[in-house]
Amino acid sequence: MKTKLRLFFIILTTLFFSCKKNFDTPSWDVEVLAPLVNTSLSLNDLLKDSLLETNPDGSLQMVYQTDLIDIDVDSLFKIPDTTIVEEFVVPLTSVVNPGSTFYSNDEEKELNINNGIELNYAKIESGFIDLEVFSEVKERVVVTLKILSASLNGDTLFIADTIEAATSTTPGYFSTSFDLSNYELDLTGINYNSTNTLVTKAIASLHPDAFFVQVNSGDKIIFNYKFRDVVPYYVKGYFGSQQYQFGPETTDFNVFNTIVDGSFDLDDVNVTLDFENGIGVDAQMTLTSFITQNLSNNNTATLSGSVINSPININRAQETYSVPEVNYSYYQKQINTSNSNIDELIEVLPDQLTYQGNLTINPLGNISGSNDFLFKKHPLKAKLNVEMPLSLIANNLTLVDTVEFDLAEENVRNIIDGNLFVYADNGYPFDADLTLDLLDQNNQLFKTITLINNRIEAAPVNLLLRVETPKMSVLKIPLSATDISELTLAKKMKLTVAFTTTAQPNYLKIYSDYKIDLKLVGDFGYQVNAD
Amino acid sequence: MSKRFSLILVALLLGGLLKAQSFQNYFADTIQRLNIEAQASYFYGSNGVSNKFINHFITGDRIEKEDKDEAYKNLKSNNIFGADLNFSLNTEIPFDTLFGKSNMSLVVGVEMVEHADIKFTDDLFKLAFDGNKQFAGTYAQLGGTNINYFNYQQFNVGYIKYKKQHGKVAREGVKLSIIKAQEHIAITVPRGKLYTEQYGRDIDLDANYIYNSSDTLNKGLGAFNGYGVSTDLFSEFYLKNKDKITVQVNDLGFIQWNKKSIQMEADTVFSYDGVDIDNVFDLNDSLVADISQDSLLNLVTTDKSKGGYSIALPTLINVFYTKQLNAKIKIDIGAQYKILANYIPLVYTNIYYYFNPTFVAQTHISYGGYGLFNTGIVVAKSFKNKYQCYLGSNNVLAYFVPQSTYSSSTFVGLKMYF
Repeated sequence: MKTKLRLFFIILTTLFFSCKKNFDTPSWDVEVLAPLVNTSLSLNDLLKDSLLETNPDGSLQMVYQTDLIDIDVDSLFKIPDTTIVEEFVVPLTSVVNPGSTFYSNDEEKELNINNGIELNYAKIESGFIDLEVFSEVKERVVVTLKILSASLNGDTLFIADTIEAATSTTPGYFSTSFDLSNYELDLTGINYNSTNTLVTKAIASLHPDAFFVQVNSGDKIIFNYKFRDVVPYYVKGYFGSQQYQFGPETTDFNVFNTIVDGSFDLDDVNVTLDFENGIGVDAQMTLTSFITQNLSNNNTATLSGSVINSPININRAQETYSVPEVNYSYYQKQINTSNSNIDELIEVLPDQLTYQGNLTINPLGNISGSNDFLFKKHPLKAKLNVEMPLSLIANNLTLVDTVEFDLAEENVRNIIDGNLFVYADNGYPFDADLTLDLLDQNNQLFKTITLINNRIEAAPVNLLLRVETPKMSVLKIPLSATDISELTLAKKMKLTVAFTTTAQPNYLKIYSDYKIDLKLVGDFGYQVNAD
Repeated sequence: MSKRFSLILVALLLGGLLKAQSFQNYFADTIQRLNIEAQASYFYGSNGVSNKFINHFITGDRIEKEDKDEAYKNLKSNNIFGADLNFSLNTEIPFDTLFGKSNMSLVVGVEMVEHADIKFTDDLFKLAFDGNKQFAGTYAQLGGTNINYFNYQQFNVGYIKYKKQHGKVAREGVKLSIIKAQEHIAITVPRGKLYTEQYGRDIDLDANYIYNSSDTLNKGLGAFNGYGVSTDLFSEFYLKNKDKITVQVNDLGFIQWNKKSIQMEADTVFSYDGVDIDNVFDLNDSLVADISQDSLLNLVTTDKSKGGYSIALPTLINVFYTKQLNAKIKIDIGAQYKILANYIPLVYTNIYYYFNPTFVAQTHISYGGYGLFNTGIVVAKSFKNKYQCYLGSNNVLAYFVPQSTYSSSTFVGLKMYF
């Protein structure tokens, strides 16, 4: 019986496992024709959004703004660190009673402000007084320094403390540092008819709890104080008739960074120099040089015309004594194709601007009656505004952009070979010739993707030189197994697009509703369940 | 007594089965005897796809273009495919062994069932195996597609009753099964068509479909993703002329899949024209992920939910007439149908030739089911009235001319008497 059962179950087990064989997964090839990507391409994708503006007629213009000059309180003057030493030498030997004042002196002290600047008032944003006092009196002395010209909320600035008694070899010593933030300085002196002048008062008294002491002839008390790191928030007075040179200064012009080749001709270019004066002084600016430079091909263009070496007068700002504190003065200087060669400067596709000039403040002298003023937060600025209506003729205007490209092998390993088709519905009136290069991790070119018909053809324009109907082009990208493998090795893709406008020699406006609709269609063999 | 008890224990643990392909077809038991029998079988077939193609698919071979081209020649607008894999172990224990009843036997057993049936259009087949490019500018018709796949294990208990009719011993039996459900996938597409624009710039799917699946995270033999019950019935009737009519109903029951099951459905017209991207320079892996299988499935799904659902089992109804021509020759003529299983009624005849009382050969001819015309042969042998075995196929030509036949099957059984 046991043998029978054993035999039965051996056969049974064999039957069971022979039935449950695990087979491999079958594989086969299919031909897939499917849309992969759907997108639109417009100038907004090629240029920064901030560079484009739409005109009332729907046409686009490029705008670019950069700061040229920024003059604030630091540029005009500084209140330099000023050290004042006041030394009192006892003339006659005498006995001093406790609590008696034996030295008191008012003095005018002038700050080290030069360049003809005559300030009569300043409000301090930040700064310090560093005070040191030495005493040769053989008893405790109370010393007081008052800055009679400085006040905060009506209270005069004073510093008072006790100096320990001097010994026969060592004088008594005291030092402190005092924060001047928010103090107002009246710089008109004791008689209110000076400028840049502080009034101080130094006092020395025997401490009330001290003993009678004999003060000998020749004993000294020295006040040594320093105005340090004083930054005014507001100053008033006469700022002098100063002349400043600015430049040659170079700034980036980040408009045409991606353009590497070709040329374009702009119908018009409007450039303005916009001045915003928040300082209570008249100013006169002269632009002596303005150069644009294309670093790729070293092409340069120099501005000529009436704007060069012609003084530009900028009126002073007005103080309101309310909020906001200042009414700015504005001035705009037009630089266009009728008064300069500005279009030539743009057409070199610059990536740098270099400029140089002079700025004179108070060119007519003290005509404000010493009421020039300056708030730290209200400077004098000059901005360069460039407006380029996109009405142009482009010839092989070539843009290059490099994008990250990382295609994992497992995502394409089932693809055998085939073609990618790019269906481009071009709404722009220019041809676009496309080149695709694959770059390795070192940004080195290792493959150029083959394109059969690499041109996206221009849409035709009507009599008004406007596109009515987009033009369809089909670009074919054959992909062999090797090509697909190389795609996975690429780390970046360099896209080069060369634009050439149609209907030349007409200038063509680019409208905001223009775009290229792109559809990527895959037509490829695909192995189902590839190993 | 201890031997008897151990046998009962084995029987309870391993169970028993009543099945259409039975030892009873070859060597009828005239007396009740304690026995254990094991049977295994597989079947697959289609009315449109040849065995050669199916063999490649099932065994994981590469399917070449000529295989597909050959398959296309035989496809009709609607086609079916079905497959079954069964393994069973059953024990018949005469009641007199247990309770002294002389005409009844207890049957207990276990069974493993794996089943698939598919109804599909020729366009779906071509789409699946050759891609959509061939349909550029036209529609691929997918409506009427129905795919069912499940597997389960069951424990069953029942009885066989022996009765005398016109001098013959007839049998009838009932089996009740408790099912441990493992895996289920079902897709029903009442309406569906796929349009590929001439240049591939758009793909439009107009479909009404329901997709059901058991818990996709719980697979394998140990997965318990649902439960169910089913019943098998059979009865033999002897006529006065000693001919016999046998009626069988198998797998009458249902499975309730658990709450972790998934249902997706949609009734929508979906147009796909590529993944929309804002930045044309963003052709990287995230884009590839957007074109992935899951994301596309999500796009065409309008309702997705988790929850339990129940399915009725494909129930087999089999009726056949048996005529004993003489001591050596016996003929069956029958018909069977499997409801809810994309099945075509099958008519068949079996001719048995007994070389001697312990060795029989059977030929089989049938038409229908999941295939077309089938011919089979089975040999069965009894050894000293202690062992019986059989081995055969109802589609024997599948082994010789797979490119011209449409079904394949093999079954084997072993029975031991005590």
